[in-house]
Amino acid sequence: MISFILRRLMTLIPLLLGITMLAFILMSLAPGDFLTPVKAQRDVSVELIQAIESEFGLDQPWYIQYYKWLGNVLQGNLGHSWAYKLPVSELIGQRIWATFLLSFSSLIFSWMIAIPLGVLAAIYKDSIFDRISAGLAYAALSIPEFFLALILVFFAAQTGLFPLGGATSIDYEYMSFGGKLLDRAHHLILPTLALGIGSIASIMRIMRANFIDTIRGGFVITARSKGVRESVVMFKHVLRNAINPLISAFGFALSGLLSGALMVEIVLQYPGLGQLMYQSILREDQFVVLASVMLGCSMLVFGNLLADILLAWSDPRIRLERKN
Amino acid sequence: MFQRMFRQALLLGLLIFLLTLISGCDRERAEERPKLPVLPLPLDKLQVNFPTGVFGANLSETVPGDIATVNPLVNESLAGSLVIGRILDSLVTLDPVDGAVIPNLAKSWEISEDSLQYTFHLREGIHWSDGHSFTAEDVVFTWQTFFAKKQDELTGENMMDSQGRPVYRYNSRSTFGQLINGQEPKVEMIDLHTVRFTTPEVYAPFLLFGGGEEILPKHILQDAFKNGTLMDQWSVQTAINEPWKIVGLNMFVLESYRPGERIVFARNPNYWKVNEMGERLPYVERVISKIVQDVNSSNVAFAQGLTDFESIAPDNVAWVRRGQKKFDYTLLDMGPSNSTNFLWFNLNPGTNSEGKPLVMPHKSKWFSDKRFRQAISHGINRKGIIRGVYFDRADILHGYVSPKRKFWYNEAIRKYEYSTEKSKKLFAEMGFQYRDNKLYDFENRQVEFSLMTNSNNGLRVEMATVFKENMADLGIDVELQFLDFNTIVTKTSDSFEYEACMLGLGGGAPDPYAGKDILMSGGRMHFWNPQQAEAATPWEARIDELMRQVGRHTDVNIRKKFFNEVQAILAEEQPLIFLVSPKDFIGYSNRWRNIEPTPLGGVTWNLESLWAEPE
Amino acid sequence: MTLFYIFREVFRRPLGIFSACVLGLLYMTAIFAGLLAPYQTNEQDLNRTYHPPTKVFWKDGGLHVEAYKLVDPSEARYELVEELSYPIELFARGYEYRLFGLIPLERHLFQVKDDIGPIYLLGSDSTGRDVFSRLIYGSQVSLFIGLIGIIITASLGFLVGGLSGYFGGRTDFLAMRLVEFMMAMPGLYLLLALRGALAPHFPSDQMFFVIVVILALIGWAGTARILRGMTLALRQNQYVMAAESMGQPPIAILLKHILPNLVSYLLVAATLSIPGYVLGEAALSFLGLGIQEPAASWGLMLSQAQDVKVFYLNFWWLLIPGFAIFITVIAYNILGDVLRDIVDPKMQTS
Repeated sequence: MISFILRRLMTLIPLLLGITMLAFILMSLAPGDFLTPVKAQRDVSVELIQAIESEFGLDQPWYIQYYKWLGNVLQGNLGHSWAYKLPVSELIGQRIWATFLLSFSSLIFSWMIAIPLGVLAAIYKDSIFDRISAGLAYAALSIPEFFLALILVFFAAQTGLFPLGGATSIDYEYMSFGGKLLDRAHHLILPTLALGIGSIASIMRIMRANFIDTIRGGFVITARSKGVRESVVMFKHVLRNAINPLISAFGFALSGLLSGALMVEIVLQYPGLGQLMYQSILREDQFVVLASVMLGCSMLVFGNLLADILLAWSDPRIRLERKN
Repeated sequence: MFQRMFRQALLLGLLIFLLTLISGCDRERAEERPKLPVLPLPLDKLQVNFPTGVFGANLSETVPGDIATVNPLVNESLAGSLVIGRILDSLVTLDPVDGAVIPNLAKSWEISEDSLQYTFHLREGIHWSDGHSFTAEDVVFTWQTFFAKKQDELTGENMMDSQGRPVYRYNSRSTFGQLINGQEPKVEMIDLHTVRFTTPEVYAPFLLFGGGEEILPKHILQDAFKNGTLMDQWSVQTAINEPWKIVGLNMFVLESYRPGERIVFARNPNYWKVNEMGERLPYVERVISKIVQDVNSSNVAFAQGLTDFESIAPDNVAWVRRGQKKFDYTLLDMGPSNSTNFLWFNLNPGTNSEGKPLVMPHKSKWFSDKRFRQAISHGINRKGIIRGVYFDRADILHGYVSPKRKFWYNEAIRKYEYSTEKSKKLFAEMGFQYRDNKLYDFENRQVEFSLMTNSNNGLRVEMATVFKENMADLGIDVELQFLDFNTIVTKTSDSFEYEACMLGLGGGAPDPYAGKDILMSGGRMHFWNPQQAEAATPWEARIDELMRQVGRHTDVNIRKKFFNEVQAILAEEQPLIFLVSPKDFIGYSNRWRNIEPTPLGGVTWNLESLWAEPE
Repeated sequence: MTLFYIFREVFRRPLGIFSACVLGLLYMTAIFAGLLAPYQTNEQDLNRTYHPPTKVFWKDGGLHVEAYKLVDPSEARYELVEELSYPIELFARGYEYRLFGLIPLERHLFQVKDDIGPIYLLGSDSTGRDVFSRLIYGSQVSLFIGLIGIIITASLGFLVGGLSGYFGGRTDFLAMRLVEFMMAMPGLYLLLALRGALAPHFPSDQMFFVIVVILALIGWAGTARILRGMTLALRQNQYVMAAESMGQPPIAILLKHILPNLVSYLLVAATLSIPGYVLGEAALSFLGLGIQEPAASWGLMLSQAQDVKVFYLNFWWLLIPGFAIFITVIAYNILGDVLRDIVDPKMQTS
């Protein structure tokens, strides 16, 4: 087990090296750098621009910049954001929890709705309810997240029921503790919906399939023949086993945590990591891009690893060592 | 067993969720915020004549974009200037009605006979927000930071760059912005409340440009100045962790800052303006500025009744207006704005690094003929742009100066009304011909060019598509290129490989000399052919000469005469083809009193006198 | 399992018929865009911006379209003029276009007679362009980007996956590390970075190809991995060994003996991954990084709907391109599922 985890983690090293180098090359191919917009301001002199350029080492080729950056990272220094003039670690630390909160709330939201729906659809297989929910699931799976977000913004603007954009209100700082909680929750509703609806559909479909598979299992027949009440069979025996494979879905959810919310964050103007990343790419704020790419990549590997571990843990038939 | 595990997992999940929610809510640190001492009213306090109001209201507003620093020497962003402008103050300021230079921290000044010496008399008894006295030493210190030289560590001598210019220790925008033809103005302290500047040559805008510099507190920053960390001071981290360390002379101090979320200002208890009753202003207790992504979200916040003051984009007026009754606010049309939109052709005759011409020679021939540029200008349906893109809320822009700058605006310049006949006549004069409704030049080449503009500006993208259709009516094929702003700037200021470009400018200092980098042929932003060693055409040479005169004369009427001619030449030659200038709209919540908006000052020019009943 | 068999099975199932018909209709619209669209994509009318959709009705023995009057230009508010309507002419002459990009034509299915008024079936946009016509022309980009992209992806995936599965050893090792590397990258981030690096080096009318290439570059890895596994298994078959012993070159073996066995899998995988391309293009164009004005694509059209004035002044018709994307994606998803059921219900797809 431990050797398996170690082996998986070891693959991260060449991966991160390769990806950061690729990011460096791609960014050096894009014209201009983060100083370019400054050049367009009318009261900035050539001398000032040259001075800043050499200060940041922007006048050097990419491999020298990369080498320097790598040296810093190995010493635990992720560098400074140029646009925010903050250490990258601090900047990401500020944003990551907002994204985490959003992903988490949409995860809970979608599970809370999808599991009961999936179970019902399985119990009443081939009924009208099953068909309608299957159709809706199809629709929900196919609707682009950013379009859904756009429709939600439209809805919010027309009704005035929800705030447009941001994570908190203007006078947030002066609210009571309960008020703060409510305010945050209020701002979370639309992004949660936009992000959660797609996953409701997929979790529901998995849940339904699992449940149907388990109903056919031998132990269900045994339980029924013992005279256990049908509801107890369904909820105690079947549900427990059907939910098993979903545990690993949690790991996958973690892997997509950071890149998944990008479009929704942009459309709904939610100040999370996705938005930060997007703006940093546009601004060519190199070190922020590199750190977020590294983070996103590590999350992907960790998430998949976690999914495997959870799966093995919940299902003793699977052994990690053989799988690779 | 599994059920229990699942329940535990669920509980754990909920717990984490709540914890995150709370940790996000409550990240207040134990504050060691020093209490600001309140000192007696200054001797030279300024009494403002507005009806007396009530103290204690909070003001809500939005800032477009986040700040990167609170240090004026480092700041590059608009949001940063807005925030710093709330905290720091300058010797002189502009009259919100007529735009004249008026006293601020300096109560008066004299200019010597030869127009070289400026002597400022500072208000006496003013204190920084932390209670320290403000004196001429602060002014001298501020200017020292601009021009401190980098010294060789071994010899202790001033270092020089390859062109024999001194290397400055702190490269700030002011360092190079305040140089007058490459020379430094001299600053000296006469006594604690008098400071004298000497310019190396007659330099008309000095009163505004030099006097408008924000003054830094010497007692706070001098250690950093000495040990070389000046540029690291007043960073975002200071603003987050120790906002009280940022000390100023203006009406507010920083109370707290949360990146990406909000900036809160508190009232400066030692401000130097008083009301009619002799009470210290401002009335506002706190300003809460929410950081938003762009103008649109800022407008949305106002339209939902969440903020108190707002300048509204012309295309948003229609729907913001609808909320006036419901949220009790007022929307005002303030007339023309400073923003300009224009396009130009690349007139750079040079070659790239491979020896290929930057613009194909036959196209260069068209572009450099003024009749071609005039014909294009006649072919643009500016009224249609205003109607379609701006919802009738913009003005036709005839020349370099926006009609907002009434004083400098030259009404008598040549104007180019929308007329395809006039365009076609001009093309005919040049020997161009039409075949199958397409335009061909005298060498039988089809007339076509590409126009680039930045993709992130929706209105400009629409204007560009209108331009393309207008040109199609003239038989010209235009290829539109929507590029990132970085790519555009790289092309216009580094590689020069493009044919035509559409951009806009906003704001800028109200002195015509502020445009020297655009108008003079050696300027870095002389868009159509920048940084010429010597003026390429007689008319550019003439503009160079006129601009030098504009800089050299102190009599505004003489300056205006020269600047009028600059505008006339630009209108005749059309190196920049101007399009439209949007109107300014402002909105304010009706709970505020003493509001007297002006086109130049907006709503908040008398922020110290604005008041509302505290909730 | 022949392609013909799969084809027949699809049309035996109601969902199969339904999705195939929807897709067929969509592609026919794209192909006959010139015939169906009353206006060109870039035809502006600055006096009729944000015009609401006009209804078509039957009157005096002919089709007519409602007339509107602009009552408040500062708000783009239009009012219906009850007594006025414009007659519609079918198969009338209009602007010139080329059917299939070849045959010059100027007849259009419908337009207002003598062009005396506008016909905006789905309203007009910010510069008075017809949303209906742009939607139809936009479908050419949005629909074909998936087809072209998947051809590149499938060939690349087959080449890498097939060769590494066939040869094994070091080739296999290197190829699979590359695949893992590609799969470990957060897709959308890579998309943005690649676009930033590549786009400035191409003129904006070649953007279509830049986007296809970028999307294909990101997408091939998953296909390659699965194809490698399948090739590995097929390789053990006797007829492959026989071909090998007869001295046929590897490429010929791959194409002649292995590819035919993979076709049904490729078909399912392709159908299920086309929505990814449609969405990828839409997302990029939506962010202003894809197809550029004045060309039309659904994502680009939707980006106009991001503007706050669209929400508050209720120009709802600008959201329609989003529904078009939605319908395309759902049709492909259904068709993909039907195909998978036919070919192999337990098939693992990327």
